[in-house]
Amino acid sequence: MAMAVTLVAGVTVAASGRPAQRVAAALPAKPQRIMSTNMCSDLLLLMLVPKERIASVTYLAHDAVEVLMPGADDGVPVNRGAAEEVVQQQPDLILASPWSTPVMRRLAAKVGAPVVEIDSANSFADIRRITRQIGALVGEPERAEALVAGMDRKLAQLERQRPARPIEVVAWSAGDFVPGAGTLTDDIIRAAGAVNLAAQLPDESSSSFGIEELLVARPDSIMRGQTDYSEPSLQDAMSEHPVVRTAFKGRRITYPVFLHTCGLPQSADSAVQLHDALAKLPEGGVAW
Amino acid sequence: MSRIEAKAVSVRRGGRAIVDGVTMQMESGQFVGLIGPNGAGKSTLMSVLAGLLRADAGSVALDGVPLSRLHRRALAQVRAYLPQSPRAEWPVSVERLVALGLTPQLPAFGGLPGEMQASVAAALEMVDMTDHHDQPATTLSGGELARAMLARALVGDPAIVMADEPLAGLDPRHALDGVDRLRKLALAGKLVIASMHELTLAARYTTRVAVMHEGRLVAFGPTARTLTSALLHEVFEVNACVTGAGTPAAMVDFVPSSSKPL
Amino acid sequence: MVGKVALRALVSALLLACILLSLGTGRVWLDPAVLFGAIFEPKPSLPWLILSELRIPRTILGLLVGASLGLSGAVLQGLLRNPLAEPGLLGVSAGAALGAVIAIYFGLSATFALATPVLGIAGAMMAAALTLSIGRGGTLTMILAGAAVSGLMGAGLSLALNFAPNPSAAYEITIWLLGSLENRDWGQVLLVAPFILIGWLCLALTVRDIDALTLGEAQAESLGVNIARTRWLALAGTALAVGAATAVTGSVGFIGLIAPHLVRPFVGHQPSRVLLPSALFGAILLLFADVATRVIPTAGQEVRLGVLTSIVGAPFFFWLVLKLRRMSP
Repeated sequence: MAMAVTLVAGVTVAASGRPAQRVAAALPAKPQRIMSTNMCSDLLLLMLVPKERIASVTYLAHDAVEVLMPGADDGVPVNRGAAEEVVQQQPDLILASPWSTPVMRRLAAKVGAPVVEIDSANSFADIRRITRQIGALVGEPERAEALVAGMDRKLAQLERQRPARPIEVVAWSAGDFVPGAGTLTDDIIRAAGAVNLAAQLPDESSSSFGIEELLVARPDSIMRGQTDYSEPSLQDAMSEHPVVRTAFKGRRITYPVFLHTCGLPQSADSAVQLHDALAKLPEGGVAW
Repeated sequence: MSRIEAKAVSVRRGGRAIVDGVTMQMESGQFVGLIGPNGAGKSTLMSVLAGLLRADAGSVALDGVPLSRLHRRALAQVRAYLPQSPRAEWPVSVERLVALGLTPQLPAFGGLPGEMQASVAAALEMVDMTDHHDQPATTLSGGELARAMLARALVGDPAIVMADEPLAGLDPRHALDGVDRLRKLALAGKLVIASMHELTLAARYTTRVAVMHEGRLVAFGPTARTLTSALLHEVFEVNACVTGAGTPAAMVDFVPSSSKPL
Repeated sequence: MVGKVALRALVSALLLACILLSLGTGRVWLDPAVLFGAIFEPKPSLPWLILSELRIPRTILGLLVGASLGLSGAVLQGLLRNPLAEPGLLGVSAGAALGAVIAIYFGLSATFALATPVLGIAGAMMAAALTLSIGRGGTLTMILAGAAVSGLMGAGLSLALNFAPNPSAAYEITIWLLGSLENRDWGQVLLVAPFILIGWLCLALTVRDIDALTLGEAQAESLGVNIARTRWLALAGTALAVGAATAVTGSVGFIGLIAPHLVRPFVGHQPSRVLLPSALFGAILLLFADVATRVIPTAGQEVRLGVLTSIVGAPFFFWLVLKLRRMSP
């Protein structure tokens, strides 16, 4: 038992390359009641572990699950990230987001559940690390490896299909925040064989990449994030500016936002989709 | 020649009759003083006569036409009304204040036409306020404001002038001044109706006097005949001594009733 | 008082300067030579595209919205004979914001383009009607009623935020409420212009009446003014103009309060003389603030228009209250 714990802790240290996350209690080798309060770890959890071993996932996960693996969360209880639910569900492992509240950690300690904060992924390397980390934590390292391997195969395939001339894109959804260098979106774009114009912005902290800058930069294509929360939002209104609509007619590629905000092995699929969509772009640059 | 006829005018508020069945006829050339104790219904009656308040019963007719059938602006051009304690809400110049009296004659947009400027100057001259024409109205003294407001009322040359307590708060000189102007207007052919508490001035300057008591019109007629000590005793519940009513030397004195405890 | 002609020249010059500034300011420098050439040889070019599709609509909206706020503020101050009156104070702006948020929130604006201004106006009229009916009986009562209605509309907005379907929707509503003219297009200009112009007409029709109100309600009525009609016109005009404006820009406050006060030292206090200058000054102020949002260097997000007008307007409000306190006994 002690060896298993040390093994798990060791793997966690090696995989993350930093001191192990502070755990309030001993990590079980194969936890049976795993609670996830972090939407991204929800999805990985559902991929790695049978439903019976899941105490709950967040209510936000459902929409993404419907897209990725419909039915996978049938019958799985849902939590709202509230600290009281920790006491209610008596988990033996909690996968939390990096900003979990002290209240939750205190209650988790009382219940005897170790809390592990799962980072967000900013690159495919991060995805590998985190997938393996969670795989080790829940006692399913082989399945985690299988997922990572699948992802790497797709990435290798993309590498082979790299287009001759890289296409310039910008993931321009809300004008205020454009994913630049060091984001997962950037990694996905590069994997798809394109160039992320936002990564070349001289000042990384520069505020808006508004319509004027967009028109001047003239990317070959703009990517628009599609949230599966199909509630209407102003984002639609924004991109509907007639100038953008006409200039980039036929050059708008949508992508599922949750595959970019959550680092999942399936994020490689987003790169594949992007690659295929880019291949279909009309020749020549954007003209007025 | 203008004629106002009120027939059985009544105004009720909360079950009480503030004005109770008042019938009176007035015409140009008369200076009617409306007197009565506080709460007798004078202001309410004036509002009805001015066409600003609708009576619950009875009617008021101007030259045979019921007030309710007259268009607001048409009425405004023949009848000027000054409420109690008129004041200016913005510090506009006296000249502009007086010019506001021409509102019923003005078109919807545009400044004051040239011809009307002359009327404004004449009105200011009439009340002796030409020197103050540029002064902000909010900085005028009580007497000056009263004169300016009178000028406002007169600038459109209305046939009827109604003023609710125009002498209130004025010092003796300005009060004499004001009531004298009103009488001159009446003699010049207007119909002037003014409510007042200054009974001596009413006795001296008005040509007719209307006395109200608890909503009813208890007396209405030429000042000399109507304003009597007995009437004042009945209405104001004080001993009054009236001498020379209707003449320039009239005097009205009050003495507390010895039979009543103070 | 400054000579009329000199004043008109000054205001026109200021307005022109603000318009040019608004057309010329932005993240991208538009080469005047290219623009000039484009007038003679119209061919699609980037600078012309940016100017015609982005900056000109933005400037026009700035003019429409600023003038609406200034005009409405002047009319309301004249109607209520109170220098602290403005559409925000009477709950109209909050009502407009609530109407617009409902339109965006329930997807009405996605299916039916006119939904946002129409619901913005509906919200504004509802708030105005509520203020008008509760606030009978004097200026103070009306201002208090306005505060109550603002509170009610604010509660509605908080409710919308509370039950936002997802965090990004809540974020968007919040940001939208801060007010902005960024990236507006011709479609929005054409959408709100009719409502705004009709609103202006209603407001302009009150000019004689609010002049007469200088004498107080009793005398104004005796001069033939139908006060109920004046109140209705003022509030309807405000609801139409400010409602439509808010529907397209979000909440931008204080312009309606400040503009009349800035012009009174020059044109005097007579309400009719304050109306047009207030409209022009409102436009100048708003355009200026909008240019400032584009120019002020910030680390992250740009300063939003409504935030800027609040930051500048609130101290001004304080100053105004202190000045009035000193003047009255």
